[in-house]
Amino acid sequence: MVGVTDPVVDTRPPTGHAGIVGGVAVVGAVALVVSASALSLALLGALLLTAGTVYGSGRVVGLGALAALGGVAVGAISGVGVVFLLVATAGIVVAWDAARQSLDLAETVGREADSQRALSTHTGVAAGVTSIAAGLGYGIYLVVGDGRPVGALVLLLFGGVLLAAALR
Amino acid sequence: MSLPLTHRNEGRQGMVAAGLALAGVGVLTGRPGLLLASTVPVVLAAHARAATFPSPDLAVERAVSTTTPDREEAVEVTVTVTNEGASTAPDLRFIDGVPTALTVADGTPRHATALRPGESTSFSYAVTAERGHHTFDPLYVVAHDTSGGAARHSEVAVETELECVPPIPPAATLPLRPSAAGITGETVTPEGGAGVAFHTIREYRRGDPLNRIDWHRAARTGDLSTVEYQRERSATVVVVLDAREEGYVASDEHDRTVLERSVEAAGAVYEGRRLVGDRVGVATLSPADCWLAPGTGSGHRARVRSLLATHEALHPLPSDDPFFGVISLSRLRRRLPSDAQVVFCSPLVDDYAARTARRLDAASHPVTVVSPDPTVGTTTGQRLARVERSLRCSTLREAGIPVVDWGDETFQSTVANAVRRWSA
Repeated sequence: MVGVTDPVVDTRPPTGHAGIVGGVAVVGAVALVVSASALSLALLGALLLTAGTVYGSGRVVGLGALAALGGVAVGAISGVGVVFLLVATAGIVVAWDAARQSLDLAETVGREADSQRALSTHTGVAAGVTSIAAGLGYGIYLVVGDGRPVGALVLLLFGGVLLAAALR
Repeated sequence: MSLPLTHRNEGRQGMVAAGLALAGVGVLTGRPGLLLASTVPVVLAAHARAATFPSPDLAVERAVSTTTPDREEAVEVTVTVTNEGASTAPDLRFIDGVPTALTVADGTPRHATALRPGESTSFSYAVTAERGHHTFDPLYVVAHDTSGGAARHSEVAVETELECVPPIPPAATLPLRPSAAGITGETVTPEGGAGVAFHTIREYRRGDPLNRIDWHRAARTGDLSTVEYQRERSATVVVVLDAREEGYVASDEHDRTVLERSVEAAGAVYEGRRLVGDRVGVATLSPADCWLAPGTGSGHRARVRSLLATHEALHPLPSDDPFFGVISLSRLRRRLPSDAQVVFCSPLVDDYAARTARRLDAASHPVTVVSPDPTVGTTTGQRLARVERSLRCSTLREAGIPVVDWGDETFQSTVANAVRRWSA
């Protein structure tokens, strides 16, 4: 029966966030255009990622990422080129990360607050990191693409050590 | 929870699983492209894992459109944050410390952005001013690194205060109980003596003033007799407000509490008694101690106005401190001048309030109860509360304590109607 209560904060992300997530996800999905089934699966994933962002549902976002990455796998099996696979994966992963970040932001500051710049900065950095990783990976792939060179083994070991250190 | 605190956000862990799954499918199907693609999510997860806790250096200013608003006036609050550190803060989230008793009327006190070194951001919102003295809490800041993997929560203190002192409401001429004593004033007593209105004629006694001898009668009968007038005395009144947790009930979750009406009634009664020359004091039954001795004059009136608006015992939200009924009542009784009458403003939602009124009355402080009615609704519980309250009112009336039951009308007309009923 106490007088003034906290107004309930709407923790769904602002509508502008869904634009960023949807845009990046569609860029990733379109890279799979060669295979119709992969493209449709990835587009479904992009739609779910966007919808999850609009309604503030982490579960829908997770399902969207699963569907979109499933599209990548289907694309790889049906013979989509390595560059396109990389672009698709990078786009989908960045969109997934942006959706997660959008939900996290909205949980802290709510739907009404202006948080567009925080999300675009975060997404920009994630896209940068992803591009560098994909570029480096593709470079190594080109250099040691065929056969079983010793250099690839050394790099693989080095990468494994780095990975272990990063995930420790 | 003590600030600053740091925590890691494990949100990108799912990406490791996704990467390993892609790699697995790639190995099983013999697609090197998929194996290569699997590194992308793993690298993003590693980026979050490698994150270090940011420690932004922020300067915060908070500006309000007015520091002394009227009640229900919208006060525009603008918060400006500047990044004074040498590095970019990629993800800053702010939650402003709106005082608990105020509600946000427009906009939101939350904001998120990125700030380059030296860059500023500002956001604004409006709060509705409420009676009382309000201090803003520090600005709550959550800073994340570029990956969102590491966060630091901290507070930046900014001193901002609002003080809303409503004027004393129009006077309500609440009559007192007929037993005043003290200096000359306007409270009519049942005794005869010096005054204006005729009371009785009695036999002349030596020493009676000449101007009170009934000379017409003396001429007619030859006997001296003295006219007695109704004696008028100034009373000492203490307005006691029920500001225990029970005094904070409200009809609806979003309504003002009934204490606001008690405060309004107290102000109106004060003004009414002040205008007839009484000495009026203010006290509360509350966890925090509040006592203003009876007095007169414009300085005293200003003190009453400020006390009713900003005293911590009358804060718009109930305090968490415990209330000790027996101690508070005996302290009040020690302080009450022996000839003081009491006007008790209480919603009467529990038996303690009614018992207090009867105890004070029994301790030869004639009590008048002013009770704003908080009961509404038609559910069984609400109806029961209403019946219980009206029973308390009748019990008090049976004990000879007048009760002004204040419903939806203005307080002034409620008092006027009650006075008409009492004198009828």
